[in-house]
Amino acid sequence: MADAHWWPVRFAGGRRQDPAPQDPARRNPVGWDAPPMPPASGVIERCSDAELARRLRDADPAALAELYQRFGRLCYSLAHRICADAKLAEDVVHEVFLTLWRDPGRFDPARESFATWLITVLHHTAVDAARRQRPSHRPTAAAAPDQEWPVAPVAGTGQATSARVAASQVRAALDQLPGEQRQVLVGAYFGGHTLHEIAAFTGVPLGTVKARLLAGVQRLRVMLAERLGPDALVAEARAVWKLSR
Amino acid sequence: MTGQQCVSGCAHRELATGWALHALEPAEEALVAAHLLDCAECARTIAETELVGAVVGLSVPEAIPSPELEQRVLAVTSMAQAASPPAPMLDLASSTLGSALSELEPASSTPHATGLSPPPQVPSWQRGQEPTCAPGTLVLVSIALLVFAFTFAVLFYAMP
Repeated sequence: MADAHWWPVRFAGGRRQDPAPQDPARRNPVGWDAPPMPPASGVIERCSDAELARRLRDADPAALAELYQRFGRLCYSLAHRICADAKLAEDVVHEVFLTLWRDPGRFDPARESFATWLITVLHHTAVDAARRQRPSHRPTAAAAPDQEWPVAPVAGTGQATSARVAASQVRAALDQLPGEQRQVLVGAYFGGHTLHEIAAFTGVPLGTVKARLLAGVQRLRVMLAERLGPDALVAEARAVWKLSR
Repeated sequence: MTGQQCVSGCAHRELATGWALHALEPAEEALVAAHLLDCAECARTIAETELVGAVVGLSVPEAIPSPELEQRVLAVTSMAQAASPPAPMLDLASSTLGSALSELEPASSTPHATGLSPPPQVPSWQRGQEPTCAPGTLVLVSIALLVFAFTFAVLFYAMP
Protein backbone atom coordinates (compact mmCIF):
# COMPACT_ATOMS: atom_id res chain seq x y z
CA MET A 1 0.00 0.00 0.00
CA ALA A 2 1.34 3.37 -0.92
CA ASP A 3 0.12 5.21 2.17
CA ALA A 4 1.31 2.60 4.64
CA HIS A 5 4.68 4.38 4.67
CA TRP A 6 3.41 7.61 6.15
CA TRP A 7 0.75 6.33 8.53
CA PRO A 8 2.53 3.72 10.58
CA VAL A 9 -0.33 3.20 13.04
CA ARG A 10 -2.76 2.37 10.31
CA PHE A 11 -1.85 -1.25 10.08
CA ALA A 12 -0.39 -3.62 12.61
CA GLY A 13 0.25 -7.17 11.64
CA GLY A 14 -1.72 -6.63 8.49
CA ARG A 15 -4.93 -5.75 10.37
CA ARG A 16 -6.58 -2.37 10.46
CA GLN A 17 -6.58 -0.67 13.85
CA ASP A 18 -8.73 2.36 13.17
CA PRO A 19 -11.95 2.56 11.19
CA ALA A 20 -11.69 3.84 7.68
CA PRO A 21 -13.15 7.33 7.19
CA GLN A 22 -16.01 7.57 4.76
CA ASP A 23 -14.80 10.83 3.28
CA PRO A 24 -11.09 10.70 2.47
CA ALA A 25 -10.87 14.47 2.17
CA ARG A 26 -12.14 15.36 5.63
CA ARG A 27 -9.74 16.53 8.24
CA ASN A 28 -8.90 14.90 11.51
CA PRO A 29 -11.41 16.36 13.97
CA VAL A 30 -9.03 16.42 16.92
CA GLY A 31 -7.44 19.73 15.98
CA TRP A 32 -6.62 22.18 13.26
CA ASP A 33 -2.98 21.18 13.23
CA ALA A 34 -3.60 17.49 12.87
CA PRO A 35 -2.63 15.70 9.68
CA PRO A 36 -5.38 14.67 7.31
CA MET A 37 -6.93 11.38 8.15
CA PRO A 38 -5.76 8.48 6.05
CA PRO A 39 -8.02 7.76 3.12
CA ALA A 40 -9.86 4.52 2.92
CA SER A 41 -7.98 1.69 1.39
CA GLY A 42 -8.04 1.89 -2.39
CA VAL A 43 -9.41 5.43 -2.57
CA ILE A 44 -6.12 7.20 -3.14
CA GLU A 45 -5.22 4.74 -5.86
CA ARG A 46 -8.34 5.74 -7.78
CA CYS A 47 -7.60 9.46 -7.64
CA SER A 48 -6.59 11.13 -10.86
CA ASP A 49 -3.14 12.62 -11.18
CA ALA A 50 -4.63 16.11 -11.00
CA GLU A 51 -6.54 15.24 -7.82
CA LEU A 52 -3.37 13.94 -6.21
CA ALA A 53 -1.59 17.13 -7.21
CA ARG A 54 -4.39 19.13 -5.59
CA ARG A 55 -3.99 17.11 -2.42
CA LEU A 56 -0.36 18.15 -2.33
CA ARG A 57 -1.53 21.70 -1.72
CA ASP A 58 -3.01 20.35 1.51
CA ALA A 59 0.35 18.75 2.32
CA ASP A 60 -1.06 15.24 2.05
CA PRO A 61 1.87 12.81 2.25
CA ALA A 62 -0.23 9.97 0.86
CA ALA A 63 -0.68 11.93 -2.37
CA LEU A 64 3.05 12.25 -2.82
CA ALA A 65 3.54 8.58 -2.08
CA GLU A 66 0.95 7.62 -4.68
CA LEU A 67 2.44 9.96 -7.27
CA TYR A 68 5.82 8.39 -6.67
CA GLN A 69 4.29 4.97 -7.14
CA ARG A 70 2.86 6.11 -10.45
CA PHE A 71 5.75 8.13 -11.82
CA GLY A 72 8.84 7.34 -9.75
CA ARG A 73 10.22 4.54 -11.85
CA LEU A 74 9.37 6.33 -15.06
CA CYS A 75 11.10 9.49 -13.88
CA TYR A 76 14.14 7.51 -12.85
CA SER A 77 14.24 5.70 -16.19
CA LEU A 78 14.21 8.95 -18.13
CA ALA A 79 16.73 10.61 -15.82
CA HIS A 80 18.99 7.57 -16.12
CA ARG A 81 18.74 7.70 -19.91
CA ILE A 82 19.76 11.37 -19.93
CA CYS A 83 22.36 11.39 -17.14
CA ALA A 84 23.78 7.90 -17.79
CA ASP A 85 24.57 7.75 -14.07
CA ALA A 86 22.48 5.95 -11.48
CA LYS A 87 23.39 8.17 -8.53
CA LEU A 88 22.88 11.35 -10.49
CA ALA A 89 19.55 10.11 -11.83
CA GLU A 90 18.33 9.38 -8.30
CA ASP A 91 19.38 12.85 -7.18
CA VAL A 92 17.37 14.33 -10.03
CA VAL A 93 14.25 12.37 -9.15
CA HIS A 94 14.59 13.27 -5.48
CA GLU A 95 14.95 16.93 -6.32
CA VAL A 96 11.92 16.97 -8.60
CA PHE A 97 9.68 15.36 -6.00
CA LEU A 98 11.07 17.61 -3.29
CA THR A 99 10.09 20.66 -5.33
CA LEU A 100 6.72 19.11 -6.12
CA TRP A 101 6.11 18.70 -2.38
CA ARG A 102 7.29 22.16 -1.44
CA ASP A 103 5.66 24.06 -4.27
CA PRO A 104 2.80 22.07 -5.83
CA GLY A 105 1.31 25.29 -7.16
CA ARG A 106 3.78 25.20 -10.03
CA PHE A 107 1.51 22.70 -11.74
CA ASP A 108 -1.55 24.27 -13.31
CA PRO A 109 -4.13 21.63 -14.28
CA ALA A 110 -5.90 24.12 -16.54
CA ARG A 111 -2.93 24.32 -18.88
CA GLU A 112 -1.50 20.82 -19.19
CA SER A 113 -1.74 17.34 -17.84
CA PHE A 114 0.20 16.46 -14.73
CA ALA A 115 2.16 13.80 -16.60
CA THR A 116 3.30 16.26 -19.26
CA TRP A 117 4.25 18.83 -16.64
CA LEU A 118 6.13 16.38 -14.45
CA ILE A 119 8.05 14.78 -17.30
CA THR A 120 8.96 18.19 -18.70
CA VAL A 121 10.28 19.34 -15.33
CA LEU A 122 12.10 16.05 -14.87
CA HIS A 123 13.64 16.34 -18.32
CA HIS A 124 14.86 19.90 -17.77
CA THR A 125 16.30 19.04 -14.37
CA ALA A 126 18.06 15.96 -15.71
CA VAL A 127 19.49 17.96 -18.62
CA ASP A 128 20.83 20.56 -16.20
CA ALA A 129 22.41 17.86 -14.08
CA ALA A 130 23.94 16.15 -17.12
CA ARG A 131 25.37 19.41 -18.43
CA ARG A 132 27.20 20.01 -15.17
CA GLN A 133 28.84 16.60 -15.46
CA ARG A 134 30.25 16.69 -18.98
CA PRO A 135 32.08 18.94 -21.39
CA SER A 136 29.78 20.70 -23.80
CA HIS A 137 31.90 20.40 -26.91
CA ARG A 138 31.53 16.68 -27.39
CA PRO A 139 28.39 14.70 -28.13
CA THR A 140 27.41 12.29 -25.39
CA ALA A 141 26.55 8.66 -25.89
CA ALA A 142 22.94 9.46 -25.03
CA ALA A 143 22.85 11.81 -28.02
CA ALA A 144 23.64 9.08 -30.51
CA PRO A 145 20.57 8.76 -32.71
CA ASP A 146 21.23 5.12 -33.45
CA GLN A 147 21.86 4.09 -29.87
CA GLU A 148 20.42 0.72 -29.02
CA TRP A 149 17.05 1.39 -27.43
CA PRO A 150 15.45 -1.90 -26.45
CA VAL A 151 12.11 -2.03 -24.79
CA ALA A 152 12.49 -3.59 -21.37
CA PRO A 153 10.96 -7.06 -21.21
CA VAL A 154 8.14 -7.33 -18.72
CA ALA A 155 6.40 -10.40 -17.34
CA GLY A 156 4.43 -11.99 -20.13
CA THR A 157 0.93 -10.62 -19.89
CA GLY A 158 -1.34 -8.97 -22.37
CA GLN A 159 -0.87 -5.64 -20.64
CA ALA A 160 2.88 -5.91 -20.78
CA THR A 161 2.61 -6.69 -24.43
CA SER A 162 0.61 -3.49 -24.89
CA ALA A 163 3.31 -1.54 -23.11
CA ARG A 164 5.96 -2.97 -25.39
CA VAL A 165 3.86 -2.22 -28.42
CA ALA A 166 3.30 1.41 -27.37
CA ALA A 167 6.99 1.99 -26.68
CA SER A 168 7.86 0.27 -29.92
CA GLN A 169 5.50 2.58 -31.78
CA VAL A 170 7.25 5.62 -30.38
CA ARG A 171 10.59 4.16 -31.34
CA ALA A 172 9.28 3.30 -34.79
CA ALA A 173 8.02 6.84 -35.24
CA LEU A 174 11.44 8.17 -34.30
CA ASP A 175 13.06 5.79 -36.73
CA GLN A 176 10.84 7.07 -39.52
CA LEU A 177 12.06 10.60 -39.07
CA PRO A 178 14.64 11.77 -41.58
CA GLY A 179 18.06 11.04 -40.14
CA GLU A 180 19.09 14.68 -39.83
CA GLN A 181 15.91 15.54 -37.92
CA ARG A 182 16.27 12.54 -35.62
CA GLN A 183 19.87 13.46 -34.93
CA VAL A 184 18.92 16.93 -33.72
CA LEU A 185 15.90 15.76 -31.75
CA VAL A 186 17.69 12.92 -29.98
CA GLY A 187 20.78 15.04 -29.40
CA ALA A 188 18.73 17.76 -27.76
CA TYR A 189 16.24 15.64 -25.83
CA PHE A 190 18.34 12.70 -24.63
CA GLY A 191 21.80 14.16 -25.09
CA GLY A 192 20.91 17.37 -23.31
CA HIS A 193 22.79 19.45 -25.88
CA THR A 194 21.85 22.94 -26.89
CA LEU A 195 21.22 23.64 -30.54
CA HIS A 196 24.46 25.64 -30.63
CA GLU A 197 26.38 22.60 -29.41
CA ILE A 198 24.73 20.35 -31.98
CA ALA A 199 25.57 22.80 -34.74
CA ALA A 200 29.17 22.94 -33.52
CA PHE A 201 29.87 19.22 -33.43
CA THR A 202 27.91 18.36 -36.58
CA GLY A 203 29.20 21.24 -38.67
CA VAL A 204 25.66 22.14 -39.74
CA PRO A 205 24.65 25.83 -39.73
CA LEU A 206 22.70 26.82 -36.63
CA GLY A 207 19.69 27.98 -38.62
CA THR A 208 19.47 24.60 -40.29
CA VAL A 209 19.67 22.83 -36.94
CA LYS A 210 16.79 24.94 -35.62
CA ALA A 211 14.69 24.26 -38.70
CA ARG A 212 15.37 20.53 -38.46
CA LEU A 213 14.30 20.45 -34.83
CA LEU A 214 11.01 22.21 -35.52
CA ALA A 215 10.29 20.05 -38.55
CA GLY A 216 11.18 16.88 -36.67
CA VAL A 217 8.97 17.67 -33.69
CA GLN A 218 6.02 18.57 -35.88
CA ARG A 219 6.42 15.47 -37.99
CA LEU A 220 6.80 13.27 -34.92
CA ARG A 221 3.68 14.79 -33.40
CA VAL A 222 1.64 13.83 -36.43
CA MET A 223 3.03 10.31 -36.51
CA LEU A 224 2.47 9.74 -32.79
CA ALA A 225 -1.08 10.98 -33.07
CA GLU A 226 -1.68 8.49 -35.86
CA ARG A 227 -0.13 5.63 -33.92
CA LEU A 228 -1.31 6.29 -30.37
CA GLY A 229 -4.52 8.19 -31.03
CA PRO A 230 -5.29 11.80 -31.75
CA ASP A 231 -6.22 12.75 -28.20
CA ALA A 232 -4.25 12.75 -24.98
CA LEU A 233 -1.04 11.24 -26.26
CA VAL A 234 0.58 11.38 -22.86
CA ALA A 235 -2.41 9.91 -21.06
CA GLU A 236 -2.37 7.01 -23.45
CA ALA A 237 1.32 6.40 -23.15
CA ARG A 238 1.33 6.78 -19.39
CA ALA A 239 -1.55 4.36 -19.07
CA VAL A 240 0.29 1.59 -20.83
CA TRP A 241 3.40 2.40 -18.84
CA LYS A 242 1.44 2.08 -15.62
CA LEU A 243 0.10 -1.26 -16.72
CA SER A 244 3.61 -2.53 -17.19
CA ARG A 245 4.59 -1.89 -13.57
CA MET B 1 11.65 18.55 -47.02
CA THR B 2 13.04 19.98 -43.88
CA GLY B 3 10.77 22.63 -42.51
CA GLN B 4 8.13 22.31 -45.22
CA GLN B 5 5.37 21.86 -42.64
CA CYS B 6 6.48 24.90 -40.71
CA VAL B 7 7.16 27.62 -43.24
CA SER B 8 4.15 29.66 -42.23
CA GLY B 9 3.51 31.39 -38.96
CA CYS B 10 5.67 33.15 -36.46
CA ALA B 11 9.38 33.26 -37.18
CA HIS B 12 10.14 32.38 -33.56
CA ARG B 13 8.58 28.93 -33.68
CA GLU B 14 11.98 27.32 -34.11
CA LEU B 15 13.21 29.00 -30.98
CA ALA B 16 9.98 28.09 -29.20
CA THR B 17 10.56 24.43 -30.03
CA GLY B 18 14.10 24.61 -28.70
CA TRP B 19 12.81 26.39 -25.60
CA ALA B 20 10.34 23.60 -24.86
CA LEU B 21 13.14 21.03 -25.08
CA HIS B 22 15.49 23.12 -22.95
CA ALA B 23 17.96 23.31 -25.83
CA LEU B 24 18.58 27.05 -26.08
CA GLU B 25 21.35 29.25 -24.82
CA PRO B 26 20.43 31.55 -21.91
CA ALA B 27 20.09 34.65 -24.10
CA GLU B 28 17.71 32.86 -26.43
CA GLU B 29 15.67 31.55 -23.53
CA ALA B 30 15.15 35.08 -22.28
CA LEU B 31 14.10 36.17 -25.76
CA VAL B 32 11.50 33.43 -26.03
CA ALA B 33 10.18 34.08 -22.52
CA ALA B 34 9.54 37.70 -23.43
CA HIS B 35 8.09 36.76 -26.82
CA LEU B 36 5.56 34.41 -25.22
CA LEU B 37 3.73 37.39 -23.79
CA ASP B 38 2.41 38.32 -27.20
CA CYS B 39 2.48 35.19 -29.33
CA ALA B 40 -0.22 32.58 -28.91
CA GLU B 41 1.19 30.59 -31.81
CA CYS B 42 4.53 30.09 -30.09
CA ALA B 43 2.75 29.21 -26.86
CA ARG B 44 0.85 26.54 -28.75
CA THR B 45 4.06 25.32 -30.36
CA ILE B 46 5.65 24.96 -26.94
CA ALA B 47 2.66 23.05 -25.60
CA GLU B 48 2.76 20.68 -28.56
CA THR B 49 6.49 20.19 -28.22
CA GLU B 50 6.28 19.47 -24.50
CA LEU B 51 3.60 16.89 -25.25
CA VAL B 52 5.74 15.19 -27.89
CA GLY B 53 8.74 15.31 -25.59
CA ALA B 54 6.77 13.70 -22.77
CA VAL B 55 5.62 10.85 -25.02
CA VAL B 56 9.18 10.27 -26.20
CA GLY B 57 10.33 10.36 -22.60
CA LEU B 58 7.71 7.82 -21.61
CA SER B 59 9.08 5.29 -24.06
CA VAL B 60 12.55 4.91 -22.59
CA PRO B 61 13.54 1.45 -21.45
CA GLU B 62 12.73 0.78 -17.85
CA ALA B 63 15.49 1.26 -15.30
CA ILE B 64 15.13 0.17 -11.69
CA PRO B 65 16.11 2.67 -8.98
CA SER B 66 17.51 1.58 -5.66
CA PRO B 67 15.02 1.00 -2.83
CA GLU B 68 16.62 3.91 -0.98
CA LEU B 69 15.26 6.38 -3.54
CA GLU B 70 11.68 5.78 -2.46
CA GLN B 71 12.65 6.32 1.15
CA ARG B 72 14.43 9.55 0.24
CA VAL B 73 11.44 10.82 -1.70
CA LEU B 74 8.94 9.96 1.01
CA ALA B 75 11.17 11.53 3.64
CA VAL B 76 10.63 14.97 2.11
CA THR B 77 7.15 15.01 3.60
CA SER B 78 8.61 15.17 7.10
CA MET B 79 10.66 18.24 6.29
CA ALA B 80 9.48 21.60 7.54
CA GLN B 81 7.83 23.29 4.62
CA ALA B 82 6.15 26.45 5.83
CA ALA B 83 9.27 28.60 5.72
CA SER B 84 11.14 26.69 3.05
CA PRO B 85 11.58 28.37 -0.31
CA PRO B 86 11.37 26.26 -3.46
CA ALA B 87 14.51 24.41 -4.36
CA PRO B 88 16.79 26.91 -6.13
CA MET B 89 18.23 24.30 -8.49
CA LEU B 90 14.90 24.01 -10.23
CA ASP B 91 14.73 27.53 -11.55
CA LEU B 92 15.15 26.26 -15.06
CA ALA B 93 12.66 23.53 -14.43
CA SER B 94 10.07 26.22 -13.90
CA SER B 95 10.47 27.17 -17.54
CA THR B 96 7.70 24.86 -18.63
CA LEU B 97 4.95 26.60 -20.49
CA GLY B 98 2.40 26.46 -17.71
CA SER B 99 4.83 27.66 -15.08
CA ALA B 100 6.14 30.45 -17.23
CA LEU B 101 2.67 31.74 -17.97
CA SER B 102 1.72 31.46 -14.32
CA GLU B 103 4.58 33.73 -13.38
CA LEU B 104 3.23 36.38 -15.70
CA GLU B 105 -0.08 36.49 -13.88
CA PRO B 106 -0.97 37.99 -10.50
CA ALA B 107 0.07 35.94 -7.54
CA SER B 108 -2.20 33.01 -7.03
CA SER B 109 -4.06 32.42 -3.82
CA THR B 110 -2.64 29.02 -3.16
CA PRO B 111 -1.76 28.42 0.47
CA HIS B 112 1.92 28.04 -0.34
CA ALA B 113 2.06 31.26 -2.34
CA THR B 114 0.40 33.37 0.32
CA GLY B 115 2.28 31.92 3.24
CA LEU B 116 -0.95 30.60 4.71
CA SER B 117 0.01 27.01 4.41
CA PRO B 118 -0.85 24.85 7.39
CA PRO B 119 1.89 24.44 9.96
CA PRO B 120 4.27 21.54 9.53
CA GLN B 121 2.69 18.32 10.52
CA VAL B 122 4.14 16.70 13.58
CA PRO B 123 4.45 12.96 13.26
CA SER B 124 2.15 11.10 15.58
CA TRP B 125 5.07 9.43 17.28
CA GLN B 126 6.52 12.82 18.19
CA ARG B 127 3.35 14.61 19.14
CA GLY B 128 3.07 12.86 22.54
CA GLN B 129 6.63 13.81 23.40
CA GLU B 130 6.15 17.54 23.16
CA PRO B 131 6.75 19.22 26.54
CA THR B 132 3.79 21.17 27.84
CA CYS B 133 5.99 23.64 29.74
CA ALA B 134 9.57 24.78 29.44
CA PRO B 135 11.94 23.21 32.03
CA GLY B 136 13.30 26.62 33.02
CA THR B 137 9.84 27.76 34.06
CA LEU B 138 9.49 24.83 36.43
CA VAL B 139 12.79 25.69 38.13
CA LEU B 140 11.79 29.32 38.64
CA VAL B 141 8.43 28.37 40.09
CA SER B 142 10.09 25.93 42.51
CA ILE B 143 12.57 28.55 43.71
CA ALA B 144 9.80 31.07 44.20
CA LEU B 145 7.81 28.61 46.28
CA LEU B 146 10.84 27.79 48.45
CA VAL B 147 11.57 31.48 49.07
CA PHE B 148 7.94 32.11 49.92
CA ALA B 149 7.84 29.17 52.36
CA PHE B 150 11.13 30.21 53.99
CA THR B 151 9.94 33.78 54.45
CA PHE B 152 6.63 32.61 55.84
CA ALA B 153 8.40 30.29 58.33
CA VAL B 154 10.79 32.99 59.51
CA LEU B 155 7.97 35.44 60.05
CA PHE B 156 5.86 32.81 61.83
CA TYR B 157 8.59 31.86 64.30
CA ALA B 158 9.73 35.46 64.75
CA MET B 159 6.31 36.53 65.94
CA PRO B 160 6.12 37.01 69.70
